[in-house]
Amino acid sequence: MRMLIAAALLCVCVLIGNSKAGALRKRKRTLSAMEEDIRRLAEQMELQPMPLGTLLARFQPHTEAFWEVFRAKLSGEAPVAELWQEALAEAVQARNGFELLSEDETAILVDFGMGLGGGGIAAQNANAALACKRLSGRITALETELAKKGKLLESLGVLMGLALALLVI
Amino acid sequence: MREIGNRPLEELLRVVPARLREHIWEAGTEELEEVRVRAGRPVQLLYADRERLLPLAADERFCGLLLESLCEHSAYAREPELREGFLTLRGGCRVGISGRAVVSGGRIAHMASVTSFNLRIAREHKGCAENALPMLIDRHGMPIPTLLLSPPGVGKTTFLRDAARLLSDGGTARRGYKVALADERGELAGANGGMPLLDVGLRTDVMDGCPKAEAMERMLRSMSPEVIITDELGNAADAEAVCRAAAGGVCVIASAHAGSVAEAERKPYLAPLLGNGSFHQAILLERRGKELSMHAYACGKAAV
Repeated sequence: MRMLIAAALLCVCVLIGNSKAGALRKRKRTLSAMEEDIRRLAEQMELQPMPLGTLLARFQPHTEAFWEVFRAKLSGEAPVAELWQEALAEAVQARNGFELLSEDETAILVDFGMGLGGGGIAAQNANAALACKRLSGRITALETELAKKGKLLESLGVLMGLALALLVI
Repeated sequence: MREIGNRPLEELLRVVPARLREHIWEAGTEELEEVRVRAGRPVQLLYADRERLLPLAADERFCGLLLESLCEHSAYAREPELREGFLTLRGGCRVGISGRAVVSGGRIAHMASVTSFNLRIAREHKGCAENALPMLIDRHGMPIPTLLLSPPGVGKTTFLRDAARLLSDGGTARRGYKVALADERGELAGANGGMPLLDVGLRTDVMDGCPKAEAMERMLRSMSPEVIITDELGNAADAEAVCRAAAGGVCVIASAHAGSVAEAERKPYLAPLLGNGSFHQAILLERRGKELSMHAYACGKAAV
């Protein structure tokens, strides 16, 4: 019986350690995907200046679930910044990786949405470039954090599990 | 969306905010010609022979939302038009805008904020140029180079659109002509993605979204038109393109803003066209209420 409990404790701790490290990786993946999508969107806006709805229908983003929601919202009547924030809120609820973003990271995306669509092509490029630069900074910080903490969290999970298992036995 | 029998207006109402749409429907769309939206003041509807102020005052947020709606949330895609102070919607309705402009290098770089809109309803009055057809075709059945004159809002564009259709389609006693439409602002054909949404005739080629002088030159070179139709000659480049087309044996039918032939002659770019044979006649459009009248004046040495 004790052996079973010890094994279960070990598994739980390993799982917790892995999930913590996995969350960091998923957060980085989400930010990287959004950075890439924003960069490509700006390029396409410049290449083919057409309405956002038409552009997004042809767009093949990495974070498809989010952009699909945003595109559907574009038929609504609110300003684009509000529609963007609504889409972000839905993405958080849908747990597509957006729920893991910190407040700062979400703020970068919200700021990008505030400038989306308005002004001219130059303004759109500047808006996208600023968002990409800020996201890039966050991604680099996350990479450093992952290098430091990723393995550590996994190892800690295993060690904690082993320690608890030994205590139980 | 309600059916109101006017496609350009339906297209316009499709994109305006619901609040404004509901008010317009309630006030009536019959003979509606303009919707004027001004920040801080009530929305004004202008009909053929009356006006109506709506119990809806536009604020800054509403103006921003209206602009976003008209641009389909994509002002960047309409940047060149916005810089020129107008937007042409699918279906041919034109929206004039004004507000605070940002100037760079002596030119308007962009509009910082738009606080006034003039939503002009395009109309497809098939047959409105039918009565004027004898003025546009000579006794040999050939189209006559004509400059159409009137102050803004009288119906030059509607008239030109129908003239294009009639000349292009032909009739039982006359053949149809190859018509080239240089439609810089997209009002004449109401084209969407190059496809005319309004009836401009069977034998009509449309070039829209391109400066009319360039469109006329290109179509002259590549489309072998017999008639070139264009709207609102506004500068020396347009006049020069008309001159070249006319000298190339093509009949040009164009319009310009002027309340009389004398006024047209005072415009430095129009005066030479009226004297050098590019136009054989000027037709003056006048409107009193719903009544439209036309008077033809021979130009230069040409006799009608």
